[in-house]
Amino acid sequence: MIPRHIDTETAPDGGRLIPHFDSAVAVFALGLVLATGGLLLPTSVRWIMWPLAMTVPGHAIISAAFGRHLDFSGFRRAGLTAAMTLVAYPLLALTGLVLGLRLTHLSVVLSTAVLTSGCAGVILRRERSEAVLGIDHPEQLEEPPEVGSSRIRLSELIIPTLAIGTSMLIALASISVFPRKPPDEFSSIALEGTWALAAHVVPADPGRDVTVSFRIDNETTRRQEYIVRAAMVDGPDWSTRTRTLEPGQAWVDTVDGRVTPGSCRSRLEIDMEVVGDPEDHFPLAVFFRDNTIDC
Amino acid sequence: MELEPGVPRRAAGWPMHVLWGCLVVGTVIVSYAHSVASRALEGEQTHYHLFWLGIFTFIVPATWMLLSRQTRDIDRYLILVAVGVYSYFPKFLAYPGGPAFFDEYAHTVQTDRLFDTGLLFMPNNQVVVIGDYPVMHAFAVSIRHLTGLNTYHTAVALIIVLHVVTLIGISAIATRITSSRHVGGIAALFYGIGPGFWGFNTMFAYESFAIVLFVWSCVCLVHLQMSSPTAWTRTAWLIMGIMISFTLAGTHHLSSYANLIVLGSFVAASAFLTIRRKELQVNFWEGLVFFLVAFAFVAWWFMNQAPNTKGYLLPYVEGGLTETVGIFGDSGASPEADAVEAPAGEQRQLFAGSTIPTYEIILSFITPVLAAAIAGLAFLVQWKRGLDKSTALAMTLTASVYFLVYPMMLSETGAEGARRSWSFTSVGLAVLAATGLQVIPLWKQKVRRNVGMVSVIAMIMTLMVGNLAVGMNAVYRFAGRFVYGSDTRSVTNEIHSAAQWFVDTQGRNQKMTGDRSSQIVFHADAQVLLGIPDGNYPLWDLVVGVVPPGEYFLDRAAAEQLRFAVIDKRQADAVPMISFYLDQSEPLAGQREEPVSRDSLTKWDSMDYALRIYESDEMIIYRLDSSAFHTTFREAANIDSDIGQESSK
Repeated sequence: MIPRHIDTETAPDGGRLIPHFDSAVAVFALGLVLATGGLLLPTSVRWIMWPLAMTVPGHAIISAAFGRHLDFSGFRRAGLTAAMTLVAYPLLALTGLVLGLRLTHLSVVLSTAVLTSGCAGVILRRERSEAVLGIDHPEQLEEPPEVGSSRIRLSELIIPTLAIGTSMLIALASISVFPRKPPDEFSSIALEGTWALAAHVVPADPGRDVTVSFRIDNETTRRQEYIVRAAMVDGPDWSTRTRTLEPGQAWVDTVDGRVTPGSCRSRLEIDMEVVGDPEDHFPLAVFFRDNTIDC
Repeated sequence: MELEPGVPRRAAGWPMHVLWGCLVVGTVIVSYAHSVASRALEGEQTHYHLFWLGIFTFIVPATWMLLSRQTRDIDRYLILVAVGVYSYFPKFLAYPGGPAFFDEYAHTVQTDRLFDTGLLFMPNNQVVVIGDYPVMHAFAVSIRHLTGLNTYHTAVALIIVLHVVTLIGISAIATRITSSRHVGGIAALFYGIGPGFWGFNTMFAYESFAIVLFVWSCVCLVHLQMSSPTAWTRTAWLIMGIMISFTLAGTHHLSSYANLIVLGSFVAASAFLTIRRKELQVNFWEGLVFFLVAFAFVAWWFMNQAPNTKGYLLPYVEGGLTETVGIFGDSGASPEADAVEAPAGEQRQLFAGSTIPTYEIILSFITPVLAAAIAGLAFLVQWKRGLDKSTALAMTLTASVYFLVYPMMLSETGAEGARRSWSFTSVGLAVLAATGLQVIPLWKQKVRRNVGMVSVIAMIMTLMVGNLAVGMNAVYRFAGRFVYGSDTRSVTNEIHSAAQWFVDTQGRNQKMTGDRSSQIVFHADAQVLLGIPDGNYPLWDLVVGVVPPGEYFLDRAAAEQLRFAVIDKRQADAVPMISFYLDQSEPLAGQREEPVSRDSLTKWDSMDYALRIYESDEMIIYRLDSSAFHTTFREAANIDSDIGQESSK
């Protein structure tokens, strides 16, 4: 004989997590608070709207659809509320798409307000019709009896909330507190300023010096000496720069020299050497042409 | 604290306090395990042991409390909330501060783009198909607008909520079917230790979002079918279910198809029981309406809104089936036969080259057998009780699919599909298993009951270890030493620095290509527009080719206005862990045993249209001067300048 569960099918309670929050006025007010906060609060503090943003649309929908007749309460109602919130925003966005609206801050706030107001209207209509019919109590729910207290008391949530919150804080803090793999160390060189935007062969007068900007970053944990050499391939050498950089320090400087006379495409290479570092670096490469000839 | 008569006070007292203490202690241990993992050398396994110690510090007492008949219902739900939160910690601790997985990068970019432009259905060249499924991005952007959070913080908070809501949903299904919150709690726990819940479903990706909708779609149907036939809430449940199913159709392709399969199971089960006069006809007809409407939504979305889906899914479906059939057709093959990673189309060896502890490998092989045994026991329990509820029968049918796809784990392509299907079929398995496991705490002899509960806890531990080992690649589970071409471990702060320089100097929305790991970072940080490589546009020739690309490619690159290439010098040092550099369709994908030669790096010196504008120890950024693409076609057409304008910074 396989034992059956002892639960039976009787209703314990009225199906509400927090009484009267599913009335028309409450739903409308919650929507108003969400819309107002979402619209007017500064970005830096608007995160406090998160609990409302994650629940109000779903709460409005299920309050409108079920009234006080939802089969369950408490956590499952909260779960359904969150699930319907997941549904609500995308449906509003898709409705906006049909209407030719973009998904902007204003459209999100307004559409959420319209949704909650509409749901509040449905709830109000039902409340009035139920009052006319004299329905004061929710339907008899086909739910098993609760083991222990049937209603959630906020005091019972203090220790679990503290424990879950503490564990989240520990996880967050551990990233800084417990040692982690150190970040990779490297050095970089790049073209700087307008030279970083050079897209084509740069025309230049071979009779005048050209100045090219570069930037070096020492992203290591040690002081390093950098030597920057520039030269035209098959052409004249350019200047050389040397500097010692502290860890995390950046160095912006220039190299100068002249382009190869008579060349339609000569290649300038700017090479970074880290003293004492065997790492093989590829030089930066920019192309020049003699602007005194036709190419 | 007031309790109902006959309910022992201890359920609300010290055991729960101990449990909450275990949650905090477990979190500390798991956090430290990830700290150790990030510094671990190759072959070290200390972090695995610490990880499991931390996980079980909380999960074992949680399992005990959920199994116990004396635990109060409110505590059951609180435990489920805690399990939902706890299950996100490993991913958060492994990769804090930003997206980590390939898909996560793509969804993060998609969300950012939607936030910036307000336009749904924006194309995404990293994961082409996600442009057709904008629901999760629309949700995240709505939350961003209402809360002011950035995408990463929205994602973290969202995934935690999704995990909790999933478990509550499973609990709601099982509770309604069995009329027992005790069973509901066990079912949710069983799903919570299932494959994917601690790994794949922790990603900020449309699957994670869709699974919640899938579960609550099932909740709606279960409550619809089990409500009194005269209850007008049936209509409300039907409307809720249809709304969820429509949203699901626009969230994720596979999830919406899985939803149809499960809804179909419900209809089939109620048809079967209706014919046997054990079920009300209204259940069949309303279930059928629900199924048909959901089917219409999915079909409409597939045909009208998701043009990329067929091309995206077909290779996986065809490959998985072909490879699986091929494996079983080859009588000489056995799972242990291959010692190395099998090429595409051949048999895959499970755990080939894996560095996970031996006990994880052993337990992962035990897991399907144990799960099948539990499912068998549960089926017997249900059979003895008559199996007269269509909802219970439908869950059993769903659970059977869980085992049917196991052979696909032996094929390279099919393994992905099998893993993903488990997130859905586990719902059925969890509900089924819970109906069997709940019998043990009901045994009257205390010693027998306690031994039984300890055995169940041991089974739960076994399943959890096995599921995680099978469900997620070892490299992805922990942050650690650099592994080239692994997505999570090949992304370094050096790549992020290069991307930041790129944003600062070149601006966003530039057209770029590169190896996969570099691309995803530049896509996320600089929102570069990636090219889609294929046989006609072989971007791999530019990135890993050992000679400069040919004229045809240059013509195409000019037409596509390709402007930049990012190169990781380590491509010449190692074969990518994912077995390809750019794309699965590139030549030699999955077959390379040696990395590309250093010529792939030096060839750029002979490309007089490539300006090397950034160079670091491992990264190079090139600007491509398309005006210098001197191809026969371009010379003949006298094209000597850029086709388009450079995007503004």
